[in-house]
This record gives sequence, structure tokens and C-alpha cells, in this order.
Amino acid sequence: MIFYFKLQYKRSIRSLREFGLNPFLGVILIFGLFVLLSNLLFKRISHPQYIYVVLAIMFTFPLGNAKRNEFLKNIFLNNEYRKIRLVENMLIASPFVFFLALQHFFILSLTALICGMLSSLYNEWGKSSFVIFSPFSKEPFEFTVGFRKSYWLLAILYILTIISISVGNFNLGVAALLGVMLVCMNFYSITEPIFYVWIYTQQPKYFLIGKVKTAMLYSISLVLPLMILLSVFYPAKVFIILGITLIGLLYIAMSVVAKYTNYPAQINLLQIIKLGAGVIFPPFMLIIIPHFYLQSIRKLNVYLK
Amino acid sequence: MIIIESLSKSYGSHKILNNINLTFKKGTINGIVGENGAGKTTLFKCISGLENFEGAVDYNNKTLKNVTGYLATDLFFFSKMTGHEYLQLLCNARGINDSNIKESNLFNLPLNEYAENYSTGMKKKLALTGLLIQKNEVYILDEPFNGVDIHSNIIIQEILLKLKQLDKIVIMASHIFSTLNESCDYLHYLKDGVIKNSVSKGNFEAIENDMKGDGIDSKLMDILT
Repeated sequence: MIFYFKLQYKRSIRSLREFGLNPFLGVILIFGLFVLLSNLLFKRISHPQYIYVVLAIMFTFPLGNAKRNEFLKNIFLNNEYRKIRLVENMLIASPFVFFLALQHFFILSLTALICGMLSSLYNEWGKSSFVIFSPFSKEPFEFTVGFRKSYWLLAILYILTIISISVGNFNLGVAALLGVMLVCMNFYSITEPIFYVWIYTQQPKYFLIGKVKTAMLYSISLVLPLMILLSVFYPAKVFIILGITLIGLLYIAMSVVAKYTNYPAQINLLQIIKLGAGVIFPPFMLIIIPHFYLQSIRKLNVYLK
Repeated sequence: MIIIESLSKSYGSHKILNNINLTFKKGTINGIVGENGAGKTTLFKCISGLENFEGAVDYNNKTLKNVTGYLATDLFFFSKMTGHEYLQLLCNARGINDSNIKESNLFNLPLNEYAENYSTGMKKKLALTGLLIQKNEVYILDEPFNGVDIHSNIIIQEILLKLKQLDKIVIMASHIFSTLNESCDYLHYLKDGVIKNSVSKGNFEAIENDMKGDGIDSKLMDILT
């Protein structure tokens, strides 16, 4: 069991190195970010303690991945396997548990710990044969797969838009509209294996333009109902709605061209910072998008001729 | 015809393939055999354009990768993607719009289910179906018989013969010598990144004898006793 955790430690260090971070610096950065975001959350949101309990449990779920657990069951004795699952779930939940305790939410801290431990009994994560309908099957794969993984989030954002109209809160509606586009942007966050690029007969330029076109078309089809609803109920704010949609579409275009900037590896820290700069200050995108486009073309030239 | 000239591939200082020279004619099935780690998969990746290399691979002055179907040993399927969508993706990638995917379901696969939930054999059959729908000119098949049932094994043999009749080029690797014996016109023995021997049908026994390792009995006894 000790060897297993040593191995996980080594894997984490390697991942940080591949990401372009010094492991020591990486750990400090992750810790700092966690404390910073946690403090922000506890200052700005009402009842953040409950969100923290939910987050602690949610973060332990992926460890219950069915295939991963089949592998662990296969190589460890039942007792060892149970201990490993329990310890790793406790480790994942611990930052939330400690932060809740620091904020003097002792009962909730204990609840998060117990729930995190109990979730180690659930080992069927990701094992589903039920096929969710996707309206994006014609042009796989980002939207096809992304929609199936995030349909519940999109449903929440749609409901939020309706609530924003019923309570007369325009800002909430705009936030939901932007939220839908951030979800679409996230569909392009993971780079595919080389085979899925290599199969294309297009040149890099046409391949990228095709990807951007699909992303635009499918994103618009997802945000159009929200745009119409908001425009009907807030006709005086049509230009704001159009402006937000345009920025959202640029976000998505930026994430598509960013995806291949370090291909076949995932995008690195520097590229993430540039991407973040574009999100925070949208005019930057006018420089960042062409810059990412050229970088991606260079990387794709190896696989697309 | 595919002409491979002086193909070499290294990862850092480690040379995987060294000065490979091969020719694959149209309407032939070509087997590549070798032990694990001999460089077969790397060679396939180089031919198909998935890896950079030194040397040259020429296919009638055409871009080989655009007419090649590559069946990898370690297949990857996206989660939450159905078999039908996988085939659709492969068609889209080649600009094929008129393909009837349902009618092309040669192996009667449950195309409306997630491909990630398929068995090993079913995944291989799905990937193979995808290559056939693309109407490629060259087929590079890395262990096409691995994990498939006997019935599908027979169908794959039939597919290989049909591809040969249609003047396609097939290059494949298999650890099951009998399947190579039945299907291949030429066999090439790859050892430590070098082509040790190339023979035509009727002389495959020479390679089989070459491949028989010595000393395996004693190693096996060391492990088991």
C-alpha cells in the first residue's frame, strides 16, 4: 500500500513537470490558489460551507472510476484495496475538511470527511450503458461528447435564465448565457490522440477553420434560445446580449485554436495564462487568437499534409 | 506501389528502426513479423505518417496518409461516443458524405451504444469497419486478429482477400503465424529494427525457423520452478 501511494506521488510530480512547472513551485502554487479561492468563496457567497461539503464529496467521485477500481481489485487483496480507497478518498477530501475546520464549521468538516470516506464504497463512476441523445452527432466529437458530459450543467443554466426572467434579474440571465458559452469552451479543453487528427485529409488551415466553424454553429444553436428569451423580455438590452454572445463566441474560437498549440501534448502553463488573459480582458483575444492559430498550424503540419 | 527507402527512426539515442528498405506492390498482402519490441508498430506509424523519420516513403508521388487506413493495436475511443458516431467521424475526416453507415455494419455491431463499452474484439471490428468505409487504398493492420472471435476471424480473412482482389495494398502484423501463412503474399522478418529476411509465399517456413528462439525452455523453467 505504501508503494502504491509513493507511486501516485511520483506520478503527480511527473504531471507537474510535464505541465512545465517545478514540482516544489507547483505544490506551493496549488496550495496558494486553493487558499485564495477558498477565502474569496467564503467572503463573497452566502453559506459557502455547504458548497464545500458538496465539493469534498464531488472530488472523490472520479476515484471511483469503474475501470480504475477493477484494476486495483485485480492487483490488491481485498483488505488492501479497501484501505487504499479509503485513504485516497480521505486525502482528496482533506483540504476541504481542514478549511471547514479552520472556519469553525466542525460538524460540517466531520460530515465532509465521513461522506468522502463513504464515497469510497461507490466504484461504478463512468460506467453507464445508457446512451444520452446528442443533437450534435453529425460532426463528432467535441460537441457530441461534451454535450453528453455536461447536459445537466446546460439544463441548470437554461433554468437559471428562466428564473432570471421570472424574477426580473437581467444580470443573472446574462451570466447564464455566458455560462453556456464557457461550457462550450470547455468541450475543447482536452487534446485528442494523434490518430484523431491524422485521419483528416485536410491541410492544417482547413482543419482548424472547420473546427472553428463547427464550434460556432453548434454553440449558436445552444445559446440562441437563451438569446431570444432574453431579447424578448429585455428588448432594451438587445445590444448587451449580442455583445456578450460575440465575446462568448470569441472565447470558444480561442479555445479551439489554443487546443493544438502544444500538440500532441496538452496546452502548457504559459498558454493557459495567455488564454486566461483573453478571458479576463477580451480585447486581448484579437492578438491571442491569431497567435494561437499560427502556433497550432505549426504543430498540426506534422500530422496533416 | 509503396517504396520505402533507408527508413530509420530513433527516440533520442535509442535507434528503433535502422535503414529499412521495402517495397509493397498493389494487390498484395504483406506480413511483418518480429518479436515484441522489434519495431513493427513504429514502422507502421512511420509508413502511415504518424511519426517523423529519416529516409523516404513514396506512394506514386501521392500523399500516402490521405489514402491509408491504420488499425492500431491499442485502440482509443472517446467516452460517451457511440459506434455510429465514431464511423461518422471517420467519414467526415475524409470528406465522405454519401456513406450509409448502417448498411456498412459488416460485423453487426450495436452502433447505437457507446464504443467505450464494447468488448476488445468489438472495438477492433468497429475500427476495421471504419477503415473499410473510408475506401482506403492502403491498409496497415497491426494485429487485426487479436481479441476477435473465430467467426470474425474468418470474416477478416475474407476481407483481406477482397482487398487484394480490389488491388489494395495490405501491410499487417500478427503473432499468429497460421493467419499470416494463409493470407500473406510476402513476409518480412523484423529483428532489432532491421529487416533480417524477406520471403514470398511458399518460403514462410524459413522465417518461422528464424524466429524460433533458443533457450526459452530453460528461462521458462527458471520462472516456473
